[in-house]
Amino acid sequence: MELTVKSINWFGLLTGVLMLALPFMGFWWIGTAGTGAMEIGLSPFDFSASFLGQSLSSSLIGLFLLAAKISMIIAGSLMIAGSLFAKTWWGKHLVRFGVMRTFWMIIMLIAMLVIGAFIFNNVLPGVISGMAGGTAGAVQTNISIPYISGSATSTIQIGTNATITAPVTLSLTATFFVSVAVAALGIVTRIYQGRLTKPKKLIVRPAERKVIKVRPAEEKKVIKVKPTKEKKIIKVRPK
Amino acid sequence: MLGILLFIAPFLIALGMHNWDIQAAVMPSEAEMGQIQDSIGGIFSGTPIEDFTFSNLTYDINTGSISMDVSFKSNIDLSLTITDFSGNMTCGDHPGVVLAQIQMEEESVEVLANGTANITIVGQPTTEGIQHIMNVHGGDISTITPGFENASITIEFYGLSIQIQMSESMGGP
Repeated sequence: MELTVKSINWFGLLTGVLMLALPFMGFWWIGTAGTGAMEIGLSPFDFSASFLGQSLSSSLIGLFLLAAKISMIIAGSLMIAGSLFAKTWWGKHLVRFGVMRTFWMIIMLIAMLVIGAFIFNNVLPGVISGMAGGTAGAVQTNISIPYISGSATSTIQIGTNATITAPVTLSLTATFFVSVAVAALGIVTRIYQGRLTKPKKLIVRPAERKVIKVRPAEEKKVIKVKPTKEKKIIKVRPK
Repeated sequence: MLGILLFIAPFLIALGMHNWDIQAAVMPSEAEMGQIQDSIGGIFSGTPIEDFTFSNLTYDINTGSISMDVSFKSNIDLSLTITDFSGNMTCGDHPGVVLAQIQMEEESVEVLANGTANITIVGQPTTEGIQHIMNVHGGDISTITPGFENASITIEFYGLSIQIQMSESMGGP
């Protein structure tokens, strides 16, 4: 198990280091309504929500995110170990453990944001009406949330007396784009790992044609076996 | 194995912390939700501001402008800023007579949580208004009970803008 420059998966090493850093780099996505009326920060490792300065928390979500953070740190550490000893039989398994983790986290986050925007645009108006405790039509909402990133203005009409207007801004942070780079590096790592551990191709030259001359078998020699001599009976006289 | 453990463990720990009540484990605490509902209750109740009082209605012949002090109470449990007050001032005793188009004199006025706001409104009287003051009220504007038509007030907090149409339910004229 020798550590040489050629035996290291350098892409994996870089990916592993970035995977260790990623959980501590902050939110991947930030959404705000007004100037702090509503603020949401989201990443696979962190979640923060506040409404009118009051922060909201959930035990289950907090613990899930902690588990994701631990999982990422383990995966990053294994990735580094596996990349250093990429040519060993176990190095391959260590690299594979977390190589696609960031990629799937990005996919899940994007899916969550799209579903979240759908819920805000289509379900939340009903919830707000319910919270107001009014009859149907007392609170009319026109919530317009961009999908993933962008700006929009939402309005809530409360009866005929009041209209609330809230500018909504959603944006992906620089950390998100770092995570995209990590995911891309993960894919490159996987491909490179495959090349590192691939057995070398044997060069098979076409065999030279040899003409083997087979001599005809020699004539069978008839070996004449002389008949053994007759057994002589020696008679021993008793003394 | 590790993946399964890291998926199941948070579930079990969170449920264990909340006596196996899944709603309590997922949702924010009642204290957090209560504080939010207290803050926004005044907005959604339909009377974010109320108890309007009007005083010192004056007409300055030199400048040709009408001014009046207005105070009202905020029902919102947050500090807010009044950014606009505009509409038509009418004669309360003679509905339909528009005395002036008025607006808030100040650029903006800060109001503390559940506090009282004091603003000054000013406006140029209409020709109909001047004639009404002179002919009907003998030039004494202090005898007029002010009323409002198509008036609205705009308040802002946390970057949210709320435009409130004035109505009698707010205690307005």
